[in-house]
Amino acid sequence: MSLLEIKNLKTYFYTPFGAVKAVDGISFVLNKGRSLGLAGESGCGKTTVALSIMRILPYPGRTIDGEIFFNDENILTLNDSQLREFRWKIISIVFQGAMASLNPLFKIGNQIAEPIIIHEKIKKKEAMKRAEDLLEMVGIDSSRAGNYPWELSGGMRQRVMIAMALACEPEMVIADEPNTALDVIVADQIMELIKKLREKLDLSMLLITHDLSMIAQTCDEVAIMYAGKIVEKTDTPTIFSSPLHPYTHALVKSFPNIKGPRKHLKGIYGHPPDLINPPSGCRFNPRCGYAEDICRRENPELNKISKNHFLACHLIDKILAKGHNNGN
Amino acid sequence: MIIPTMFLLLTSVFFLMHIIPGDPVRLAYGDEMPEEFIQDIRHRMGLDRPIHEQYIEYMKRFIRGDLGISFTYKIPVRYKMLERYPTTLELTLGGIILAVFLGVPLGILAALKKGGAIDHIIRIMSLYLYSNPSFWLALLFQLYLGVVLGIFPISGRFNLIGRVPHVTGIILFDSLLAQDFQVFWGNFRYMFMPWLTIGIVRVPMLSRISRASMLNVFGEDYMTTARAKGLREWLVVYRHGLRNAILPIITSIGGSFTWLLGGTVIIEKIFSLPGMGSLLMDGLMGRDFAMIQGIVGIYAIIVVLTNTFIDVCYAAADPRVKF
Amino acid sequence: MKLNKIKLGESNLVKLFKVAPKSAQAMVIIGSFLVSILLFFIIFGPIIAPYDPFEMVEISWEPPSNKHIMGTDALGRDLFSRLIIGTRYSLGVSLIAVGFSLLVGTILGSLSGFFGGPLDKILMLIMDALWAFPGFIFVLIMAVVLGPGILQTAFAISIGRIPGNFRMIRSLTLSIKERGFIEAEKVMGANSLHIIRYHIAPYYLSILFVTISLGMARGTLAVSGLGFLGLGVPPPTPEWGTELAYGRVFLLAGGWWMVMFPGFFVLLSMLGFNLLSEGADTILNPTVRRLK
Repeated sequence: MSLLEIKNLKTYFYTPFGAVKAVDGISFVLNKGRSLGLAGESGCGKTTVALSIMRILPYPGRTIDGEIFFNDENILTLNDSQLREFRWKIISIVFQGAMASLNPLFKIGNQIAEPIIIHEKIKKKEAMKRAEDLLEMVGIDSSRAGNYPWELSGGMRQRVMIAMALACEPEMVIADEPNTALDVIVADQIMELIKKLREKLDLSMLLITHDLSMIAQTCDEVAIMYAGKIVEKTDTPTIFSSPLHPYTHALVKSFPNIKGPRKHLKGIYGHPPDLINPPSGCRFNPRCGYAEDICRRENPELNKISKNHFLACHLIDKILAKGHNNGN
Repeated sequence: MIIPTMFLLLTSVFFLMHIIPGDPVRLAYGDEMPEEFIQDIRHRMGLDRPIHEQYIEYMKRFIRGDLGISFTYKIPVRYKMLERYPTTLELTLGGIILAVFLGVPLGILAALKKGGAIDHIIRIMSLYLYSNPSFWLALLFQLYLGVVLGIFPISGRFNLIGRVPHVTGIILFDSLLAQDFQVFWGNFRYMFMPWLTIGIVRVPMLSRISRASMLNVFGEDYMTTARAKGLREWLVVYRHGLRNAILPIITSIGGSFTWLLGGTVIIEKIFSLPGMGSLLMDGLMGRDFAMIQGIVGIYAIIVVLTNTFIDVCYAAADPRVKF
Repeated sequence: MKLNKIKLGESNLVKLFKVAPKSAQAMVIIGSFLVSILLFFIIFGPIIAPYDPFEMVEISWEPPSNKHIMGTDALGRDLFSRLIIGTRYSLGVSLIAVGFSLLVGTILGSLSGFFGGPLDKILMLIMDALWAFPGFIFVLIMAVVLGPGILQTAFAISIGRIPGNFRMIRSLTLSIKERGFIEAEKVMGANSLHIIRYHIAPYYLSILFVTISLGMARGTLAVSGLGFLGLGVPPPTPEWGTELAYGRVFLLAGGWWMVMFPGFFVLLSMLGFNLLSEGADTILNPTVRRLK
């Protein structure tokens, strides 16, 4: 049963230099109780997808095309008061950079309780009690509800963000780079916490990150984004065992293997694409070792090639036949 | 910081005073008085002693609260100042209240409607207002509002002020406390033009800082978080935005108050208000050292107190600041 | 980031101007226009003034008419001519004051920033004391101490501006110190020069322009203010503030023009310099540009 279905979403940023096509025709489905990792380089448009879903795009961004269905209701057509109902109660979001996302002037207890009071119209005392319970749930002592964000460490602030996101018991949570600015140990703790909470509360999750290892740890499915488009989508084990798209393949192979013989790290040749004037045809073609004429002319559609595997590449047959070599 | 600042100010003013040409005693008593008389007065006031002795003597007395005797008025400086400071305070307070209540909302409005017609209009009006010399505006107001239209009296203070019991010394508040509306309104009529002139030129600065501060806050991430939580827009702006934006504005109000104090000299002269500004002018004209030094000292104390008050307000508003 | 690579050649200034928002462009244009009128008055004053500003043409005060566009003052001198010539004094004194305060502020600021230590602490203390105190009062006292006259008035006014300039130069010096020498240690000494020329200087020059323009606005206001109080430039010099003071006496007797026009000249100058500073600031200062 599909919870979230995005069809051909397009969100552009209209800057003085031209329209930045941050999200240029994205489609995917997230089923109830599942978690999807949206991966890609910095600046490929992943966060914009999240902001588009919540409809909190900053100026000069605008969603100009597409549909976002949640439980068969199109979010993009909701009016203001419906939208406010929907936000946080149905889908909530854990932002990256908890320090800037929390208001420095208010205590964390109040900030967690705030959406509860707004959405459920219960008394402040009760809301604060629930906020304290939420803090306990994420591993923070409830006595710290009276602290200000700047009195907490980075890891604790991130836990506060998570507690805050769960305050209204949403159906789905979007996590945008939850481990930014956290050291590895704390990052690991946070991921474990997220896993635990997902199981306990049967949450659906959209995880946005550039870190494939995080996806490997917590997500059922993966969608790889490049230059505003999805280039491959499948379940997690498959993406690591047999990545098909050249970009995915390069990404996965760029992770050093702890076991096995020593090898040189391979980066990806070229530089990130210009989103105002993206390359014609397949956006990845300037950096793709297999690029042929058709790749420069036509943009490949996202095609279903097996039960749960989607791919956008013209040369799929050749790749399936020969397998990936170490070509540029 | 208080002590060194005051010390520095008083010392520099003291020595500056003694550079001025002109004998204050002679100026105070006129040319007809015989020289011996003048010399006698000078001796009794200790003016013929060496400068460093005079300096030490003055500082010692200042600390005890003895500000010396005024040459022009021939009474202790302290009495004259006690008589005059309420007017100046009332003038400055009224001015700053007007400037804040006009400037800050305008600035916030301009920020909310950034880029729109209102924003531009506010900025243009601000620039225009800012370019007006306050003394010219004062004269024009006197002419048009006072004489031509006859709405406001053009000078002096309301004559029934003494009827209201002295609580703060500021008639604006005291008359309200005593619920004596005749005095309140009478006072208001006399003070309105002075308040308007002294405050209005500061409106642009406050409005600009308010606007910039709001715009700054709008770019912060916690505003997006608040919106994502489903808060109504006005709540996002008011609760999350304004609370943060107000901080630099508070500091700026303090600076504006200090600036307004400087403007009292000219305004008091134009509207014949018996305050410390006009006292200072009299003192300067008469080379009345004691008076000048005393007034500088008092202004310095007022500035220091104001800054302390502003710091307290800021600390109250911003939990990050420890006090 | 673009600014780092911009050398202040002509073409780059024009480029910055073209990229700027329309409001800033308008401000610079109108501001320059007004300031050039003033300059015109300064340079060609005696030629274009219809009468000799010191000559008592009429018996006493006359309202504006065909003979005297702005009427005459109480002594029968043509007001328009007096105000035109007055531009030299009101603006001239202001210019000297700006120049002097920049000079002193720069010297003290760079010494303070460069050497640090007790010198820095003492200077900061003095400047903070001056800064906190209502500036005009100090200017007033200095004006009385120094007495009347062009240079004296300029000096008195400059006192009020010195702390601001001092702070600015000091922070600039500190940033040079931080960046220039550390790198110069690694590479040859020419590197600090390079940094100053390409990174610090363009930034400083743009600040300089705005500082001067703003200083002229405030300075002119201060000169007129002092003149109005009877201090500053002494009569019979037709400084605007002094004219205003004289006109004030006759205001209630019907002599409105004697107050209206001198003040109007001050307003015009202020408008010109303020518009120029605002516009230039938006165009030249990159961080401000983003906010606007």
